[in-house]
Amino acid sequence: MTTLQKANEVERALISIVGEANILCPAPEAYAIDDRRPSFVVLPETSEEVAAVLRLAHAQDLAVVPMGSGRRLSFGNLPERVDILLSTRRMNRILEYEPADLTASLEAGCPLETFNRVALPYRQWLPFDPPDADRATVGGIAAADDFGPLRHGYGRPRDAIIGLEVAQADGTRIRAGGRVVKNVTGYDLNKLFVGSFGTLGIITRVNFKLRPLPEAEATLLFLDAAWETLASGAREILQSELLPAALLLANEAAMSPLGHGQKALLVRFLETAPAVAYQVERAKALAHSLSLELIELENEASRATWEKLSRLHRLIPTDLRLRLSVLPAHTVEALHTSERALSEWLDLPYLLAQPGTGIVHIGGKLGIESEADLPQVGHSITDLRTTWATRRGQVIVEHAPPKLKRHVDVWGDVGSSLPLMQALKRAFDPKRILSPGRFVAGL
Amino acid sequence: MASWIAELKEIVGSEDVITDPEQLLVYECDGLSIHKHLPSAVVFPESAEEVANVVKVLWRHRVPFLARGAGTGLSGGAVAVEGGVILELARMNRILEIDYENQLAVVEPGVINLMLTRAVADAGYFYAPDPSSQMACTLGGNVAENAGGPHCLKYGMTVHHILGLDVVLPDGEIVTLGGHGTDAIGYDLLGLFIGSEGTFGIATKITVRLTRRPQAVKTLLADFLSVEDASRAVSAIIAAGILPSALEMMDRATIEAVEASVYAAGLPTDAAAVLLIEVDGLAASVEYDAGRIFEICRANGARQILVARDEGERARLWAGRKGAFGALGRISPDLMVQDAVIPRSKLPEVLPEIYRIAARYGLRMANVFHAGDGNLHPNICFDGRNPDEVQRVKEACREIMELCVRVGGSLTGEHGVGLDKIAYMPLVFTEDDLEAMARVRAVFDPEGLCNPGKVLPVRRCRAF
Ligand SMILES: Cc1cc2nc3c(=O)[nH]c(=O)nc-3n(C[C@H](O)[C@H](O)[C@H](O)COP(=O)(O)OP(=O)(O)OC[C@H]3O[C@@H](n4cnc5c(N)ncnc54)[C@H](O)[C@@H]3O)c2cc1C
Ligand SMILES: Cc1cc2nc3c(=O)[nH]c(=O)nc-3n(C[C@H](O)[C@H](O)[C@H](O)COP(=O)(O)OP(=O)(O)OC[C@H]3O[C@@H](n4cnc5c(N)ncnc54)[C@H](O)[C@@H]3O)c2cc1C
Repeated sequence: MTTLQKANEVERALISIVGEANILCPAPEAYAIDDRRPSFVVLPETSEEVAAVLRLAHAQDLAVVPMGSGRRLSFGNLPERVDILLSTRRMNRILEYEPADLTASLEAGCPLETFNRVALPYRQWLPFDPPDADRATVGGIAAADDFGPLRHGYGRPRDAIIGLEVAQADGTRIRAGGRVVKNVTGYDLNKLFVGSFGTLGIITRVNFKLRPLPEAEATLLFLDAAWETLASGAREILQSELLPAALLLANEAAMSPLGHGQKALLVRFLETAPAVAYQVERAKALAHSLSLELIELENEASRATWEKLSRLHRLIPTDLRLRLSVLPAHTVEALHTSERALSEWLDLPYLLAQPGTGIVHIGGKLGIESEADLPQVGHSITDLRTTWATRRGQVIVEHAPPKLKRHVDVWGDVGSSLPLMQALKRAFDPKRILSPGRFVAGL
Repeated sequence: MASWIAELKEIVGSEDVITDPEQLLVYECDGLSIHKHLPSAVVFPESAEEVANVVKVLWRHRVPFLARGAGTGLSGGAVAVEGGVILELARMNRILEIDYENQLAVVEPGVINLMLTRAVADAGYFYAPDPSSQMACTLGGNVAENAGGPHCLKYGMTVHHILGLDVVLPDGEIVTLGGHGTDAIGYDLLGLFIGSEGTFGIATKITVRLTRRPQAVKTLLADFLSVEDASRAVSAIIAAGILPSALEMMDRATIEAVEASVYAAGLPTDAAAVLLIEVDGLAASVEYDAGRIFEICRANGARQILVARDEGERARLWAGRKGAFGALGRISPDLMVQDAVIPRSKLPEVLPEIYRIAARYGLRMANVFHAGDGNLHPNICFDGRNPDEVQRVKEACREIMELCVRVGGSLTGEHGVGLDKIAYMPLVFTEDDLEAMARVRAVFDPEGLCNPGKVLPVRRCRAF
């Protein structure tokens, strides 16, 4: 059979599964993964259809990459191959929502925002604020275990996911977990799929435990010129009785879209009204004792600030974005070392750091003269990674132009557990058809 | 004497390997006495290296083995069904590091849960997961079972408090899972290992998250004249968007047993059920939430609501709750501590049905459980010497499990599947689900030597 005949055959088979209207062939430019364009974009409507697409792909040895909103498909190493891009866009329903139980079961393509709007009248929510929260789907959030500053107070999505439905590489569908908030029946396969970036199975349904929506909110901005002063503010808060939902250090570049030209410590309180009022007063006194300038934002203004921060990488030009994870006590040092290590290559880098969790985000525009400088940039990132590796730190490249990815591994070294990860990949995707090459160590 | 026994003695010293059947008797079962089996030997390693070396020998000789902490497990997890070797980790009980700035501690697996909290209490910290067995159970056992406890409603289970593990795999290799305080990259093997019930390997070093003690705590005891009223109050509190740090229910049978025991806490013995409710956090919200809880309990028929006035009263109420299993154990020769979960809104419907099931089998039942999580513990008092009664207990348990699954629940909320619930697994999982679990198990333990016979049912010579 010629390649063309095979392509036609595959196309016919895909059409019989999802219908002609739900296939894009050739794939539009916007669906390119790094610099590779898939042969087909398919948009199934049900988990049965997802399974059928996978059965076909498995039989024909076609590589499949799943996508949610597709905004973040550049997260990962260069794909080895991409034949089918499977979009969950049409799988966007709320399947079950039990306000009295604080649980919900959502189709993978359901946007986070859609669900949070539906839950609002019940005063419940999913407390996630990943970058691009306004677009992210719950399946993409689960697959990337994607978080934002609210991780400080609410943990990662991983911690709120109580059940999944997954279509495996061969099209067999399985269920992990369940619909109850506490469950230790059998192995927790949720953990296997959450954060696996579409390399072990395609998530078709996600069950969450929800949180009550806090009654009130306020954000305080502590402004200063020095990280050390802001960091000592953060330390005092962390060691006090206060319970911020988010705690974020931001540099000048990150603050400028918010209309401020100084470094800041942002502290977000989400609580009952009396507790928010109490914390605001306490934090004000603290700012005073440290002689920090202070701005107070309530409810709507507070929310708007964090929403803007979640879109930061769209508000200022970025084409290289890194995430460091260090011990919380090393956060400020991580800010300094990464500033030093990257400022040579990054124009206008923004820096966002969570002093409570040790997560640091860096983004900026690659300022290099020519492509010949790319290996050098790759080296800087690897050096930064090596510096932190000895101190338990990790550096992940969350976004980079494909031409840079040729010079730097996106993920870094996995350590002694790599053989287990490789064995899991073999056990769940023996033919390597799911996002091949994109995850750690080229899984 | 098997040659491998001599090899084990060389590693840990001959006095730290026991094979005498009389001495082995102590290790015949865990906290659930209906499953018994003698191990072929028990070894007492004192370090990760010793664990690894022991495991290497057993791997080479294809001898099955399992780790044991305090043996308080209630699903038969620490029983050597296939006559394997038990590695008793009680001696690996050192706290290796406490780091307040990063809010973490590094411990050996044999550290007793409550000892860790005691070690950090003066600095204003605690270790959040608090199983009712916390005075005895080990952190290694907690990791293996993903243990919960009364305060897991707000603070989450063990898995939410473990930052990293060193694990001896079934072939004796030591691997690090998780980042020990920072994020790890790749698949979440740490999350996968926690709750694997000792079948993926042996945890030898554990990094835990420490939690700062809240500014204020308030403990309430509300009593009700019917279990349904108490259940409705539970649902109403959750539905009102309040997140108590604990929301526990005890029924009359439990109250009576507690009050007749050394744990007597002054509970009203004429109540049908009491709710023990705790809120913690900032003083301002604690006051506020306690007020709302007060109203909700009243509106749902609470007769009396008592607020603990001081730390002493609070401790007494908790001693009553945490001693409840012990108290129940004393009033009958044997106690079946069951563990199942349902969606919390189903409590008012399911609880009365559970009593009916027990009545139908002529069994005495007491309920004491984590109501806020929908995590039931229907405990059945019985006499293990009476085979007919044992049979009825088993049948009643199966009916209860079926009922819980029917309303959207699951088989276990914290004690695990172990040996005890294998037969029920097909109630909640399809063959394909179980096959996927078996595949994961085979990745960690390709030879099937690590705690065999647990968690997954065996079909056609194949572990599922
Ligand atoms: C501060 C910060 C910055 C970030 N910046 C970047 C960045 O610069 N670049 C970047 O790429 N990401 C970035 N991310 C991650 C990104 O925000 C998330 O990946 C995104 O929120 C996921 O939502 P989505 O619906 O757009 O998923 P997608 O972007 O469509 O998919 C995300 C990943 O999940 C997989 N996937 C999607 N749906 C499924 C499914 N149903 N089953 C299995 N796998 C699936 C995809 O293959 C892909 O690997 C960042 C995260 C943070 C915390
Ligand atoms: C009165 C009473 C109250 C209880 N209350 C609760 C409760 O509120 N919540 C709750 O969750 N549980 C509760 N339990 C159950 C039990 O205490 C927990 O499951 C506990 O985590 C077991 O710890 P252990 O050290 O006794 O483990 P063991 O019983 O010794 O072992 C349990 C399992 O863990 C494995 N294991 C032990 N150590 C390791 C290790 N280092 N690495 C790998 N595997 C290991 C064993 O192989 C076995 O499969 C209660 C038990 C009793 C008797």
